[in-house]
Amino acid sequence: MIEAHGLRKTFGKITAVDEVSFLARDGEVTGLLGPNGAGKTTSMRLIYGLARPDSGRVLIEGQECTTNPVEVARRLGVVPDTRGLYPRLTCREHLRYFGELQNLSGLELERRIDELIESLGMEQIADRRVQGFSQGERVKVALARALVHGPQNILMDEPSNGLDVMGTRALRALVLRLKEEGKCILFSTHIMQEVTAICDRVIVIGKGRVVASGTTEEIMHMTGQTTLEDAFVDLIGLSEELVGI
Amino acid sequence: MKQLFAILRKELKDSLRDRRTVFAALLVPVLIPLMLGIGFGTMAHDGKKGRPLIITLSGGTRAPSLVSFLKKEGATVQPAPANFEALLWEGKLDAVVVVPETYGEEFSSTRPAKLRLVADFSRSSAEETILRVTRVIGRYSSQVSAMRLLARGVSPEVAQAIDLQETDLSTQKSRSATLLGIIPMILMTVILIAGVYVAVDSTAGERERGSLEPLLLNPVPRQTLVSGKWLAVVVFNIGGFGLTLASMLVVLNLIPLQNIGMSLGIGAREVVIMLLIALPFALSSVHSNFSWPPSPVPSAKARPI
Repeated sequence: MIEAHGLRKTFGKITAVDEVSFLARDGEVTGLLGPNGAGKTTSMRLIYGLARPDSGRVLIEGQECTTNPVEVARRLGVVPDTRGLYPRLTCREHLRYFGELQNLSGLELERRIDELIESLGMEQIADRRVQGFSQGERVKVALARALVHGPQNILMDEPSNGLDVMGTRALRALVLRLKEEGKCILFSTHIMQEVTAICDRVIVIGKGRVVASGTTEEIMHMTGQTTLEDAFVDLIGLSEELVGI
Repeated sequence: MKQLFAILRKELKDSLRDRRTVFAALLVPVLIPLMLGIGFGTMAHDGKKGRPLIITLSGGTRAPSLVSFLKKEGATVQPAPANFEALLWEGKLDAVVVVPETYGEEFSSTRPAKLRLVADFSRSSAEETILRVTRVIGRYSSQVSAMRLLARGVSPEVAQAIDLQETDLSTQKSRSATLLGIIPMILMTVILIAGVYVAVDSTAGERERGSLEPLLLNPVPRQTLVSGKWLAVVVFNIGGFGLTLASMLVVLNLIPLQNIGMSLGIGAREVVIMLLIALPFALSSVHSNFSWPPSPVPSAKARPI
């Protein structure tokens, strides 16, 4: 379970995140929906504790990540927006390295690695160096790496960026499977279909603020629109900005 | 501790697969001793005057007292093969002293006993041998003359109008001492630069690739992270040092240093001492590349675009 309370982060004069509060429950997929530059990635970074909020706090299963980073890191699996792989290591070596950093070792770790490689369909690329991997293969490695220690809370920052149709479907299937296992999944995206397809709850962010939250139906009902996209446009106020141009 | 070794292992593996890193680590250890070897090699070549004099005698049995004089002077006397003229042509022999059959008779009747020096006088590489043979036979000649004069009650000094005294001012030894003095400096430099790329790649490189963020998300204390990477750099530094030392020893052993009047007294004990002296340098050389301590929470500005 992930709780955010009144998060605020400024860079100079720009307020990237402004009083963002939400709750992501176990066994649910929570979508963080917003246009480019709305503050999705910054919010994510505040949640996984690599950026310190100016005010507000984040609780991962009741633990504060600024005061107890090591404990929080065990319960968190993150796929950041920059996949950040080592080009000279193979896929399996990535998983092993991060597993070891998570204090796994020996047979248990190797079994876990094999499991992940199989479930993500990476048998073909498991022992190849990451250099030269396609975008989709990179995402898979980053995903497997984030899941190697079996975290309860999973954060994904626009994981479907650069994925083709098959890759996106495989990703969705994986997310749904993790949800069935009772994991708490927080998912940032700007793609509507993805939200309707897998998210139980949506948090709409615009200009660093939470403009709406609830199930997709609730959001459509709130704005009086029939599709999520229209509701989204309505909430973000993009139509007004276009008039201004 | 396990995490520390996991980091060390990964950094070493990653660096060894990086051509640029390996190249940088290998460049100095291989190139510098090679250059040094060329430098010393030229010097040792120039300094071959110190090599033993070999005198080839044809008909040496006719002049036993000459042969024993030559041996006393430190020369190696070898009999000339039958085809010595061909060998002289080919440059396989520098000079041959021929003792004619008349030698014994002329010598005992105190007439000037003729010896023939056969050589290719136009060949510069033979020059030195010719000069040395001429000198040593000249010395024999004056010794015999001195004894003959003594036997007749005349002081040999009468026959010696001039005494030329030579003073050797060659600076070869001092030059090679300077060259050898460079070695410790090279070794120190290697310690400082062998691991530079590892240090850069495992810190700034990690950030540039965007892999720093996922790395920092692991439950690893920052000290452990930095220590692991630091150890990887130390391993590279020590490795570069050891490699340089080894290749230096190989190169210096190949060069006939005794030709320039030097000897290299580096044994196992000296190597161990050098390693011990080098260790603190290897350990501290990372400071220029790491900012210590790392900030506990990197600012969001660190995000690569």
